[in-house]
Amino acid sequence: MKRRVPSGAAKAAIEPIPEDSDAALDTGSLKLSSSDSEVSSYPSDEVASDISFESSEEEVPDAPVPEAAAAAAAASDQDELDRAVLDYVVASQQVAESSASPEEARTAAAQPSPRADSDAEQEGDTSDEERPQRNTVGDVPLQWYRDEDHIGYDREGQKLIREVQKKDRLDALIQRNDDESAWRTLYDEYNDEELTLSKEELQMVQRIREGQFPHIEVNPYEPEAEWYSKDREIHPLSGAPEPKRRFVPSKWEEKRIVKLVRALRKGWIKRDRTPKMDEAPAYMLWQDDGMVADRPSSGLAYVPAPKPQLPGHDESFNPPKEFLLSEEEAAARRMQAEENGDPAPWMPASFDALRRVPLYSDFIKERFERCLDLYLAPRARRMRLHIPSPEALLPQLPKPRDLQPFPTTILLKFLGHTGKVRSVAPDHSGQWLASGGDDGLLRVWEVRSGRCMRSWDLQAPIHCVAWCPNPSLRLLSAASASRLVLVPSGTGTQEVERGAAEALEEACSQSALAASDESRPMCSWQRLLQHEGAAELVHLHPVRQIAWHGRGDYFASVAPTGNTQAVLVHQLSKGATQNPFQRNRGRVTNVLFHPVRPFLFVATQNSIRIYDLARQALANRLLGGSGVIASMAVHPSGDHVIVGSADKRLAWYDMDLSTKPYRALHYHSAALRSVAFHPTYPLFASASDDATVHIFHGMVYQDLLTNPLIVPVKILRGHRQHEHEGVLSCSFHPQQPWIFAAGADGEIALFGN
Amino acid sequence: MEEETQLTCSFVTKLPTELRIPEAPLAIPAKTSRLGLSQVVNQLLALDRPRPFDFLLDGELVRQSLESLVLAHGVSTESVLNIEYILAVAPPKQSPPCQENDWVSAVACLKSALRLSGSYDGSIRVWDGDGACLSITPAHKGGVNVIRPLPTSSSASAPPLLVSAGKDQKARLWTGPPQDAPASHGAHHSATRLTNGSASAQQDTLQAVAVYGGHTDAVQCAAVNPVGSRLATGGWDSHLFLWPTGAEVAASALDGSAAAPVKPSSAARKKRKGEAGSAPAAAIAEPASQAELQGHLQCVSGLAWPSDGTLYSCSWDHQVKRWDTETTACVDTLSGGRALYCIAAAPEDQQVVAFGGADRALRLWDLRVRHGEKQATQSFVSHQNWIVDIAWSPASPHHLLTASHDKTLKLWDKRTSIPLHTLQGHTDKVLCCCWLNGQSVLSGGADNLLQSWVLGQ
Repeated sequence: MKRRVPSGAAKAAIEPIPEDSDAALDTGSLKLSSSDSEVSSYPSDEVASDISFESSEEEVPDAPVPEAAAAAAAASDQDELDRAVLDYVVASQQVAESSASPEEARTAAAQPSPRADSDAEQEGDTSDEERPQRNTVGDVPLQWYRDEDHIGYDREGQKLIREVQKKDRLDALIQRNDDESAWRTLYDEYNDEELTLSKEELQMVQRIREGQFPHIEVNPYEPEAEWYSKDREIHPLSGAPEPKRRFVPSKWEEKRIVKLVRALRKGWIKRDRTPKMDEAPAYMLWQDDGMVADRPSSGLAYVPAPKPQLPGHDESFNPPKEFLLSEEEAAARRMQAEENGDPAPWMPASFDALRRVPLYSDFIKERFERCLDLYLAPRARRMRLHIPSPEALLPQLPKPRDLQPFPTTILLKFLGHTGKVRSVAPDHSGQWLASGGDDGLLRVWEVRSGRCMRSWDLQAPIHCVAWCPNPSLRLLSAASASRLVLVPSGTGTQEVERGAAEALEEACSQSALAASDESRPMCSWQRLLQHEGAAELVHLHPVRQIAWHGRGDYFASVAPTGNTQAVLVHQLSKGATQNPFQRNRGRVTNVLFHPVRPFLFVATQNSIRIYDLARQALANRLLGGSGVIASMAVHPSGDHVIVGSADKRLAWYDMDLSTKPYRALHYHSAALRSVAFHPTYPLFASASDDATVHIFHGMVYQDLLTNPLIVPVKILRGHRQHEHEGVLSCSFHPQQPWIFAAGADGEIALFGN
Repeated sequence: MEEETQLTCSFVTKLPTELRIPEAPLAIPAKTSRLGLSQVVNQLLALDRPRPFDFLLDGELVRQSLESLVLAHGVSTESVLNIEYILAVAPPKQSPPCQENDWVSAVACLKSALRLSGSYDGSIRVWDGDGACLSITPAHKGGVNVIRPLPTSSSASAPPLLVSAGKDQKARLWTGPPQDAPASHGAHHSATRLTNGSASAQQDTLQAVAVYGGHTDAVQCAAVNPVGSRLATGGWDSHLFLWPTGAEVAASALDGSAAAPVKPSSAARKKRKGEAGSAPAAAIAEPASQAELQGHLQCVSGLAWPSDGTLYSCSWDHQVKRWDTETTACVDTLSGGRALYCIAAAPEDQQVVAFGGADRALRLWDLRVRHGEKQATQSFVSHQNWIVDIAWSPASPHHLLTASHDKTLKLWDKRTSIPLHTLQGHTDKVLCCCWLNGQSVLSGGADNLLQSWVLGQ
């Protein structure tokens, strides 16, 4: 029933009016809902295609449009179709105006048009406002108004005056001839207006005529969701148990089999098993090529091993008596074997049970071990690695001489300490060096000349010295027994020194005020009377390390034995002390402030925790090795940490990468004591109890793709071991590629390039 | 027997007539080195006492055989070699040292053969030629870093001026003892002789006339222009300042009147009273800085001011800079690989500077050589440790003296890369050195000794 209409006919069909005025009138008088009734008789989702192609001549009379058939002589299905198209276009125009999203437009367009109209009216008057003269007469024959001046009434009940159709026919004809768009102009009698079809709408009409979906976006072949498949699902859609028929044998198959069996038995089904003998059998033409008779082509004869002789009765564990040898026979057999040089001959022996056979006890064990061997034996053949040369295994690293400058030679020795020197620290300008050691002396040296400029006797071994990073104070801190001593270093002017002393005094007085209402303070700030301007922070436990924050106001002290008070953070400007960690996991050995971010690194014996001080939360945790962490240092960029531990290992952590070391360097032959990063040069160093300092080139690239380049460049030997302790502390010069190393032999050495 | 190559040489000299030999070419074995040439000249001169000579070929001292020298220079062996001979510098003779209390960190000498030494105890001592301490003046708390005498003014009666700088972040201008001081002191020499620098009534020989306070860290170096009217100081705060100095500043301070560029503020007076109460009530001027030369990033460690418009500075940031002091602009920069400690410019040709640093090499930078044309810098390696002070001989444009941490001083001729002499006498690091009227040198070190050597011809 489908009928294809050529596009040329479509043109003619769309403009029915000019052919015959009467016909035009008649067609115009058709109710627009006429096609609607047809349309609505089809399933709604395929309205459009069905409208255009399934409309048939047979159906025309069924349509409740008797006037149409009567009036238009040529009112064929073609006209019907055109009317349907008109309807559709009108509806889609209206809907497109009223609704924003194309999907809605599509669904609405698929609806029959008057219903859509009424719907649109009910829903809102947006379309009404845009077309104010919308007729409201409803579903009445329009010929009732044919002779009237009006076509109906608007919503206010005012008459809608006929205007378009009232025009003179001649004028209209002339106008049509002048107008280029006349061929695609339709007259809507219901609303008394002319509609000009746009290009898109024409395309839509074209598609309808060709039997396609009106909208190009409609995809009729969308992939369908396969809810049921032959595959066995892990999570099936249905939880129903397996039906019984899956388990019981099929009754019908059984019947079929019975039939087949009977047919076979009765000879109804013949099975042609026997090959036809009259044809010569096919043979392998090239089969024997590789073999000469029984031999492989390699020429080596294959001699099958002789089959061992089966055991006879005499080899039984309990042979009949006649097989047993008398002593003479046994001796004779033994003697004969000796003469012939044969191995010991078989001597039949009798046992009353198999388990009495002497071999028996070992037999089970031996069989078990053989099974065990088979079971545990590696199945894969071990392939030898193909290594062209041992050098190929080494990583491609640049030559150290291309990585200069780095410290290579000993330049200067700072002599004066009588005990082990535990700690060295250069000041921010690189002019001064502070050191402290077991002799209890805190010293300040001039770097350029190696002269001790000043010393303070703290009367207890000093474990750590550190400069306050605030350059305007020139304050020096030292950890000595359970005291943390702060002294103005005297490297600046008198004003600076006075300022530092005043700052310390202020801190002490503030602390005293705050401490008065506390029963047992963690730490008390006091003036140190032996030394002018100095202050001391008396802790409850021996302090081993000091770490200053980069601004120079906060500093942290570590007392490893302090358990819950192991890490205390002090504020210089307020003289305040706080304990940030109520509970420490393990014995804290080291703390460090992050150079740029508000992070605090806390090293316990085998891991490093990084706390975010701003959020008061654990930010990261770095896993250590087997040894106790002795020292750590942060790269100036803040993203890399090096850790030296007592298991002779120097570990480089890339915090963006992993919580495990990016590189673990086992170069030292004794426990590490100190590690340090250079503030400006790409260098880092590790000092160890083997009395050496190892210098590494550690280049960190700005792009996040390249991993850091680590090259060992130099071993510095300038110290002697003393009581199994070597270099106890190392620290880089802030500007030059120099390193200060303090040793257990009481010397501080400056290594430079 | 292998035939010996002979070279034709003609000897020329600028020495006085009694040391001249005829310039007729002589055939000399090519294997001959300096000693052989010296013997030849001595034979020709027929002096009763032979004198050592040094020989110059193409502006280079002969330190190897003539053959290799000719090969190195690419001179034809057929042509006549013009060899100039000069008197060799005899090994210096060490004078008895002067004992100080502390490490000697700065030495200088005045025209009147008075020696000045600054030490880590912060005082400046004045010594006469016989090694007697004439006075001790507390100058810089923490230590004296540098002492530089000002060129003497025309009027002989005016007292000599000197500038010192130290770790107290100040530089000071002092009036020294009058020119005829040694003569007047000669009479009661034994009476005023101060052993081991203990203080006495002679303390006021040096009088502070001006203090230059602008640095915020220790002042490491100072230089005075040849006229003696301007002073440059550089320090650990990486600043380099130019100051007015000279007789006008001193005169205005002594007059106590506030001259235009000089403002003796009340604060300065207070400070002076606090520091040196024993000084007489001469006002101390506090001149404002004329200019700041910006460019160095780290400690300015050495300064040299050979001619009026040109100032050289070296720094711990590995750079040597040449400044135009009129426009205060940096004209030229040389970057090395090490921190630099000291610099000295040749007194006559001001385009050559010598500098040393955290390095064993003494380096010469010839500014007349354009970059890339030839090696602009020469390095002379002989010291075993840092070179911490350099002094260019006032008498000869070729000779310079270096002090090193390897406990020696070395005397160099810039025409050869081998030092002329090594002065051994210190038992610890040598920290400073200076020339005494071109014929003797003075040095101080960490062994608390002030050593002096006399160079002979």
